[in-house]
Amino acid sequence: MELLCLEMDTSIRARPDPNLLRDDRVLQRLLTIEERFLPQYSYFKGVQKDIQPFMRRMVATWMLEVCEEQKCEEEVFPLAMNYLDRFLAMEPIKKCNLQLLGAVCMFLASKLKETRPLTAEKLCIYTDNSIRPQELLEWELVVLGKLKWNLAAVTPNDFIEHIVRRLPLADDKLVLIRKHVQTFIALCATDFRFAMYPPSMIATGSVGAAICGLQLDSADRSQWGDSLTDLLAKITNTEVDVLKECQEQIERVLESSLREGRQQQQQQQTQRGPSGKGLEELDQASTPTDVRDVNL
Amino acid sequence: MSTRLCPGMYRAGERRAGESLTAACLVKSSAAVRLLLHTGGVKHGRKMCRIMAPHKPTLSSLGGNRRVRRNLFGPVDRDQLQVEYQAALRKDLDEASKRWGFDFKSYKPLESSDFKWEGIPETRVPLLYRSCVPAEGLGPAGGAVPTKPARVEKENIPQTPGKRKLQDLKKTPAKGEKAALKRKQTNITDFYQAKRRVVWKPRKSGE
Repeated sequence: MELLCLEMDTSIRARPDPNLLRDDRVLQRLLTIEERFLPQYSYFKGVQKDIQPFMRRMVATWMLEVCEEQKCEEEVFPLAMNYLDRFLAMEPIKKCNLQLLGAVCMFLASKLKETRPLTAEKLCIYTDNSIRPQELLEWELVVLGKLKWNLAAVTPNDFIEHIVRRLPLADDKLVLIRKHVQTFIALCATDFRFAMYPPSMIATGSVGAAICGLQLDSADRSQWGDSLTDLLAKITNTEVDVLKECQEQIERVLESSLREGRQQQQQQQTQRGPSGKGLEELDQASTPTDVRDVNL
Repeated sequence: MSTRLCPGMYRAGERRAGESLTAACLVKSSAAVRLLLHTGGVKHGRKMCRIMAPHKPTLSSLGGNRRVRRNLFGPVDRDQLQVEYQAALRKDLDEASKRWGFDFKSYKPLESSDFKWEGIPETRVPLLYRSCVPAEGLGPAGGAVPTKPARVEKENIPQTPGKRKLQDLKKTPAKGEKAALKRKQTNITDFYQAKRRVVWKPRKSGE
């Protein structure tokens, strides 16, 4: 007799609570407190001497990859980046310790948000064992101290449900929209230009970009009444012009990321030669990684 | 560690009706862009959507992907790192000392302090705040403190050198076993056993 084990270790999660999502007070409260968790300075212009914006991008890309490979909850990566930025705004750090900091931030964010958090050992392996679990744990304490143990930061992800539920969107589109919005948010977190933006603005801009990108706005235009941007701006009390600018910036970042991805793809294809591409290979090739960044 | 195969890790080739226009939900979750490839990006109009299964791969799968597992900025200077760690810790401790008027190294209140510090026997604080070392000389109540050895090994408790026991700052003496037991956090077993237990008898282990 064959035994088939269908058991999966799915994490059990609560359903979205309409009492929290429909109540304006929750959204207003999030908007009120979000500023508290922003990094205080644009740190590349002062605090930091050894590290540069492209290094932040490298470590961010690596962190995102780790989070994705480990199937972390969506908010773990943006939250970890929030810790990283807040720490870097206060404390100068050497280039060679930046990855350690990134690992520590993921460690903390994962513990805060996940039922089964990343372990120190796993994270150290992902740094190719350039750091040891003991060091990770030691620096966890340092980072916690610097952040004053304020870990429950507001992230753009906190706003997604509040925003999309206030838009006239068909239920069947919601899943896809959410997915795209989350991707945009992750993309923003890898880019330093968004580090000082309030999370609500990034979330609102991402929702706008997602809806425009999926061309849902043209199909359902009759429902919007005002333009989509006006409606979005109202929901999170953002200025229309600022929001527009933010959304355009997100779209630009997306475009350049895709362009990079395609270049990567072409590079890999030429390396591989033109013959026989199976689907799997094609799929591999369309995976943009920042190999260029790695070879410093 | 054994490899667990997770057949549901990716489901490829799924195509949803709603996404035909501009974006194909990309493909492989990777890097900054696991995105929204505009249709031109993938040949044959073939769109793949990899659905993340709610599943974390086991540690053994880490070895496979050399691209994610990497050292970004060269070797770490361990000695220097240790020096910086100690310095950062000292700085944190100094700031905390100033703020709370308490010397955390000697576990004594500072002379010039905005706060008035008062010692409390270990048995009167929740388990979480007790030092991991079983307290000696705390009287009969001290022996009853359940100290789980597992707590000492817990990974997120850093090993601070020269950790002092909490009773060092004890000023008010314990009022005896009864008082100490009364202040203990209640367990469900307290209520179950209440009827059968004689009040003055010490509790059994595993309370």
